[in-house]
Amino acid sequence: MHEEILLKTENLTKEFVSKAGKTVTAIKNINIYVKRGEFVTLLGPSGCGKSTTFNIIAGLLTPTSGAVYINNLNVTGKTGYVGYMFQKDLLLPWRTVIGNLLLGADILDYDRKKAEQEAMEIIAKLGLAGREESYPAQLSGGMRQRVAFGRTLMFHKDLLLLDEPLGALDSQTREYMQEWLMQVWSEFNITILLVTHDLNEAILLSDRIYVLTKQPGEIKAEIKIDLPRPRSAATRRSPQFGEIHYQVNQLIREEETFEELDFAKEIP
Amino acid sequence: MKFYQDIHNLQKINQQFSKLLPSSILLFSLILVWEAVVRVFNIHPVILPAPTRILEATIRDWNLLINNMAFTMLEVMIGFAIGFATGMILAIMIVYSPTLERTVYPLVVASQTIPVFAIAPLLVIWFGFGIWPKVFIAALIVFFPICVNEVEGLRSAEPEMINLLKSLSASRLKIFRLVEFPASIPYLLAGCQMGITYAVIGAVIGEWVGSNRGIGNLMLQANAMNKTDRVFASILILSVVTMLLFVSVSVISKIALPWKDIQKTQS
Repeated sequence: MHEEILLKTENLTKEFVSKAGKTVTAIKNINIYVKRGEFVTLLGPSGCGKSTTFNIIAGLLTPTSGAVYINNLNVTGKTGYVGYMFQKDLLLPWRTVIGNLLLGADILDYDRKKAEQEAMEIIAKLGLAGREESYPAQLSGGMRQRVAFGRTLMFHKDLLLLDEPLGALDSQTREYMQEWLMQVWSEFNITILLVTHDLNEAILLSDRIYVLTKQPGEIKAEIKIDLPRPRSAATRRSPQFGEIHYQVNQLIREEETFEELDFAKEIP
Repeated sequence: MKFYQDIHNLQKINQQFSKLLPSSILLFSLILVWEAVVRVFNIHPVILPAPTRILEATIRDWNLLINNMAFTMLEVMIGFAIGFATGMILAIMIVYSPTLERTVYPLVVASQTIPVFAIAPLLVIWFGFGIWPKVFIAALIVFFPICVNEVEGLRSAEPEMINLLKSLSASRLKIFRLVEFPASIPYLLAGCQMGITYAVIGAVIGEWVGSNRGIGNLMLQANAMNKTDRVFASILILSVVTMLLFVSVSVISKIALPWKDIQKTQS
């Protein structure tokens, strides 16, 4: 089931011209792939070009060079191939929970009746039964992210791009939502490419992790997470988890120490 | 569930009434003082009629007042419709055209400093004594808050939300219909609320400058005939109608934007 390659990027590079007229390379030679059904994470510090990479994959930005393939189709600079979920829940405050879930049907002209039925099923599966007619302002942060996730599911795209979807939540809700995300990923049989800077989150959820460097964003390492599935909250406390955490942390630290030394030099 | 909601609504209405209670008592006391002062000092009704006398005049002149008020309302409503439509259309054009935004929008904002009432006499010169100069003033007054608020409202949509729709290849029209326009409705209604009250004042001033009908015209005539009680009766009708307009826009807002109330109580 994990063999068909759903997403492949080929030497993605993006350069921006800054206001001062300098050329800034945001990302450089990003080569990644995601197989159907996989959970893959891009892990990196802020400013590593994660969002740039996502915007290119989503077709909102055109790369300076390189290409994006989804289902073996060259979709570079083309929108409409992924379900994109942002850090902000971006729920429409004037629509109820069910109304927000139907946004995709309204955008993509899906059959409204069918969509309504599906929305009710998804609401139940997301643990939001009884909140169909609530407005986003009446929901907690965790609930709002679940609605946003349900809405992304209802776009019916093969690949979901999740850009720090749990980034705005407090640490306790966040841990709980990580386990929840893991559960819905297997339940809905979907393919996820996640961006995060939270190492624990990346290890717990992913099949593979790409570690990105800071400016320009480059792939520094690809790590396969062999932790057995199904994983649970207990997985966080397993010795293997600790071992992987230590190894990846070493990798990230190399990057940070380098910067700190640089910074130290500037202090007289 | 529904029953609880009804009770909740009743409680809310009750709360709103109790909020109004102190100011109602004050208003009533002031009216009593007014009545007393007029009676005790025996003030001539041409200078200041007593509230009871104003009430009498209102009842006596009811048909006259209502007929003229209706004409003024006709001016206000036509003016409002024209101002609303042009304000909306221009706002949408400004938001979608960077050229118009740079050329027209600063002028629209700057033109708000021109006192529309000051150009009323010119309008009589251009359009005569009929209904149109008043309609024009009302339209002009409504146009500004609608246009400026709608521009701001259309821009209030989150850029990331628009990106989300773009990532799904949503058309420009869909982005407008599903995100930008709904986001602008609270701004638009706030503009309506501001616009409608000023539009009434605008129409009345237009009538003062030159007219043969309308509540403003009635006031002028009553003034000339020293019928001060009729002037006050006109003011009374005018205030009540303006207040009703204001309240009806609030009610429309509450019905159209149920989520706005929830947002307020939650934050």
